[in-house]
Amino acid sequence: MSDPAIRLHQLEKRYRGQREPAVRDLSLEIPRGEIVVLVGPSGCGKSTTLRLINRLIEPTSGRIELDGEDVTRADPDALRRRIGYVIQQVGLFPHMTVADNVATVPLMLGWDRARIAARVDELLELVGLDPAQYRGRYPKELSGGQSQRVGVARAMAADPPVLLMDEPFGAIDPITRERLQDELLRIQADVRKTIVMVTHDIDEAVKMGDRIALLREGAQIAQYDTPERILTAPADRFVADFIGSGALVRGLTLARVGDAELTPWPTVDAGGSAEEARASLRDSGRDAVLVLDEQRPLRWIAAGELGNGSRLQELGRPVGGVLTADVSLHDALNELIGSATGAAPVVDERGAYRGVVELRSLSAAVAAMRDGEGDRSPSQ
Amino acid sequence: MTFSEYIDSRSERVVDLTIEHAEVVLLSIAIATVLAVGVGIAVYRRERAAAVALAVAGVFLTIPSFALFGLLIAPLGLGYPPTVVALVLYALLPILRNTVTGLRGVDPAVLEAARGMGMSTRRRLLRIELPLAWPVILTGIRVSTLLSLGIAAIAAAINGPGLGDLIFEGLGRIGAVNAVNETLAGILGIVVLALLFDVLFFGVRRLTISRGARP
Repeated sequence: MSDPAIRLHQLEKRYRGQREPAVRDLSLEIPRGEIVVLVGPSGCGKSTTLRLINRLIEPTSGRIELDGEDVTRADPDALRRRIGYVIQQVGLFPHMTVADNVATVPLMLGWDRARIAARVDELLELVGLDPAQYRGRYPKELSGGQSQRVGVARAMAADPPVLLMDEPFGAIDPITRERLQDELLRIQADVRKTIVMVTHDIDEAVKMGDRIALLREGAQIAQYDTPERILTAPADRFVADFIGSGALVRGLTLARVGDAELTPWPTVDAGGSAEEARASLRDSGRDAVLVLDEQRPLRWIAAGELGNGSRLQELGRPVGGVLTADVSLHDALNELIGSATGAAPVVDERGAYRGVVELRSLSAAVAAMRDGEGDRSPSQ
Repeated sequence: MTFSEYIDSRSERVVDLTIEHAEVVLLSIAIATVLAVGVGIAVYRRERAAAVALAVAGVFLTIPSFALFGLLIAPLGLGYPPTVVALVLYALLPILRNTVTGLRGVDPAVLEAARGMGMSTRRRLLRIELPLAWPVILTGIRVSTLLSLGIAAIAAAINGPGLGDLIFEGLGRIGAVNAVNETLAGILGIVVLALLFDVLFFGVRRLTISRGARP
């Protein structure tokens, strides 16, 4: 990894009176513009690691580099103004309005009034809060989800290249949490910050992370890899146990039908005859034929159902769901399980038949994730 | 002479003494606030230092006021100086205790966020901790003020200013004409001042505490 945004080099944090260091010999590179999620069981040192980056906790030894610059001994307050920080409890200043909260860092950096006011409105807009309505509110007048939106806006106020987020959605109800996660991903697609996020929730890590650092006690890296690789190729028993059951199936949420290889399937036009259908089936080795009506998948007809004389539209069963390229393989699997033929037809944007997805395609997709070098682009 | 006739005939003196009384209390409270808040800021993070400071301020408050005023004559003489010093010493504890409580009561998450954004210790204190502790500190100041209004009356025993004059004079010649009226006038002045100060504190609360920090 050349030119990482953050480089931690042999970091160690020991607390007096504790035999084992909280963080032991941790070296980690955080690539620019990506979301790296630190995940692990409680007490593994993931929050400590995060707080070492902005030196809310001073390392006992080791080196922290930000943009190639050694900041281990830099003025910590100046350093922190370059790094956004979001915590689970949000920590909005209760005696200040939303606008004043967001303006905190720009004010310290000496921005002028007009620029700050414009920036505050821009950020509230970005996090989905109407500036006219929310700018003058006090934190106690906000819901939990709204508070954390303001928390994120406040952290991004001075446009820091790096954001640190410590369980940012941990205290928020599941529905709001999901929405905030989606919105953060949407914002991230625009702003491309380097984000280090701590969570204990592997599902959140898989959803949010371009990379996941799975930590065990002492902030030892058990595996540092893409979510796909973590799910499909856990490095050891610890990782596998932490992910829990159904890892491969969950991995399917990370790939889309468009990523999978489509398989050809015997087809016949709806206007054709049973004879044509039989011909189509004959050399394919399949036991059902797909009837297309002007390119659109219409019905499945099993070989035994191809009687004489009947029109093809009246034979077999209608096709259930069809898949498009942007459907996740997880949803495709759901479709497959319900399909009698073990195949689900895939159509393009106009609804025209392109091929089918089979269980085999999913296995191949999982194998591809496993072999992947972990260079998933951040846009996904 | 009825009480109201008495007040009418001596109104100038009663008003003068009331103003004196208010002045010496306000001055003492101002000094005590600066001292107690300063000491509170210095000790609130340190368990031992805070315990010592609170114990010392507590000792001052337990010394009988008559005795303390008397003791201060030797170093400070009579009149204004020992009065102010004594009142300051009495006013320290409520303000100091509330300062420590208020500063310690600031939500740790708020401080963590402030620190994480690069606010210096000084800036955190001025922008975050003191404003958030202020409602509690102000309550301490109010308690001290009411306390001082009463204690300031004792200052008359050492030629100090204020409404104590009326009370001591009246009590000194009890049985004589208007002795009771004089004493009552002194007490009434103090009660009126207490009510006025309460209104004042209500106003200060409204003006100095942000809507967001009000309970």
